[in-house]
Amino acid sequence: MDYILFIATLVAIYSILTITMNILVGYIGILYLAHPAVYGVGAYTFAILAKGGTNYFLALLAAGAVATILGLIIAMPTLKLKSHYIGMSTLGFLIICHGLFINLKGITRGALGIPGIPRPTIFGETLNTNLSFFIFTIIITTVIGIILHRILHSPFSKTMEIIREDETAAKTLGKNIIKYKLQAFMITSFFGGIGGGLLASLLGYISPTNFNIDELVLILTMVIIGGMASFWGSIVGATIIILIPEALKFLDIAPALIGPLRYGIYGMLIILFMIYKPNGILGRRTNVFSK
Amino acid sequence: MEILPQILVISIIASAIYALIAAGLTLTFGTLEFINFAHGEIAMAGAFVFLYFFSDFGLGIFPALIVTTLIIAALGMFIERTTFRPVRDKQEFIPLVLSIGISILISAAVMLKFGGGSHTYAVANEMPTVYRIWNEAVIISQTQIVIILSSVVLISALFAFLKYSKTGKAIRAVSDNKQVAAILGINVNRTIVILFTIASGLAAIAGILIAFDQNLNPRMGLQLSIKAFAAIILGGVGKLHGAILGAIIIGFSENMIVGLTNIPSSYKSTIVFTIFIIVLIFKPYGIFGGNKEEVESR
Repeated sequence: MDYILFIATLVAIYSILTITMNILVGYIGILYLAHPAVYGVGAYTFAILAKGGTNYFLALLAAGAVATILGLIIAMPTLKLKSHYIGMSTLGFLIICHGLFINLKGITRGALGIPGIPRPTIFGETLNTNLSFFIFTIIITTVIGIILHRILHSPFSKTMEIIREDETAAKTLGKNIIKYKLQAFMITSFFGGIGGGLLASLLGYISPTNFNIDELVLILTMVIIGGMASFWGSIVGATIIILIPEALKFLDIAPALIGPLRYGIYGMLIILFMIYKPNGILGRRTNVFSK
Repeated sequence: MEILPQILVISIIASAIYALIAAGLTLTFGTLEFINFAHGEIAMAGAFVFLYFFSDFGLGIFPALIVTTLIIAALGMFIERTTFRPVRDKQEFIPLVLSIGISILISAAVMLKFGGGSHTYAVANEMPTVYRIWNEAVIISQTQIVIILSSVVLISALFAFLKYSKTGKAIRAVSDNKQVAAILGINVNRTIVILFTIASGLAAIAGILIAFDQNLNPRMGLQLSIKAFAAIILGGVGKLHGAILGAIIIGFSENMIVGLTNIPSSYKSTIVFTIFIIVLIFKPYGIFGGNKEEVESR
């Protein structure tokens, strides 16, 4: 039971991470591959501040704020670039940040990682049990989810989708594309950073391996399987991808094989979805990353 | 500065390796217009298939090399036929994401068979042959000389093939404009299969050479892919000479900066990609990539 609650909390946090990545990838159509760097910076900011005794919620907000700064830095070169070039520059930022997580030992403790990241204390009670932390996370993620849902069902989101479908048409309509893109980056990185903070708090320990290219593949799979430009799809995608390795544990497989098998299944799912159902389970027809 | 000649040699070796991977990648990119994330994994798979035939099966170096190259070339052909061809004319992100799926699948398959750890071709207690040149200032192993020579020979052969052979001309025509090439009677599907086969075979040889020099593990493919992407984008995509220039820039910058300053070598990737992003800011389409209009008109 305790373990199920842990998995449910993980699903809630990854749903936030997936939806935020989907804003850039699915809604506005930017091939953004730096998400683990952004929420990783959020997670590190949160971990360092919360361990240092900063108020839990303040630390979460700071995680969002620092992630937003990184998000804007990542956004800068993408404004001038198109399709693959955007993909490579954002992937480049992921590799740079991952390298910094490993190498800036004075701040991140390098490959050793940061242990003992605290859970929140509310009215003098520390939420150390999985049940209390699950309830806490569900409340926070639901609030974030409602905010994101409103953003993604507003005129703002319609404009993002126009930019994705046809940038020239959006310009003709008098839309300031750069402003919209920067705002999308800010929303993604702010809430992504908070998601990273929650993830750090749930795991209690973070190291650079939590924010590498494998994580990118994980989140990208969630976005794709759930569906591009789909709020609920992202939640479905996150749930399925988190549950796959758990389902594998019930099969009679040597533990050493579970890791590769899990990745094999992710790979197979991506291939099959791309060939037969590129819009994902709940996605709509979109015109993503075209020139 | 007495270490400068040695660093130059290390940079040349790294550039030779990246150039081999980037050459195949830029060929597929130039024609199909998507970045094939699986390319480095194909090189990695080549290194492991060679490990199987050479170390486990006991074939000699050259038979094992030929068998491996054929198998990986066939794998490339198979991947093109079964996965990339059905999505070729769909939106651009589909083949790109698909290739990420293929790369994960290949590395998972290798890990299932060989485990996640590192392997080496070296036989225990056997010292590699090493040469000292330039008044003993530079140490270079036999393998490293072979890497540099093979890279130069294979890339020159590739240039000649693209320029003079009928198939090479067909590849250039298809990469220029698929419709016009088809109207002129070029079999586009066949040309693209040949292209994938060549690129995969090159990648397999590159993977084996790298594994001889360093070691091999299932994670090396991704590192190679990433360096090769950076190389082809730095040089300007779809241009063979651009890819080679990009490979040289990356090979030299990472080794020169790490070798001549106090920056630890774990910063290599960070340095490469910082340079990469700075170049993209000033030359958004790469050094030989031309201007915006030229890229968009393709």
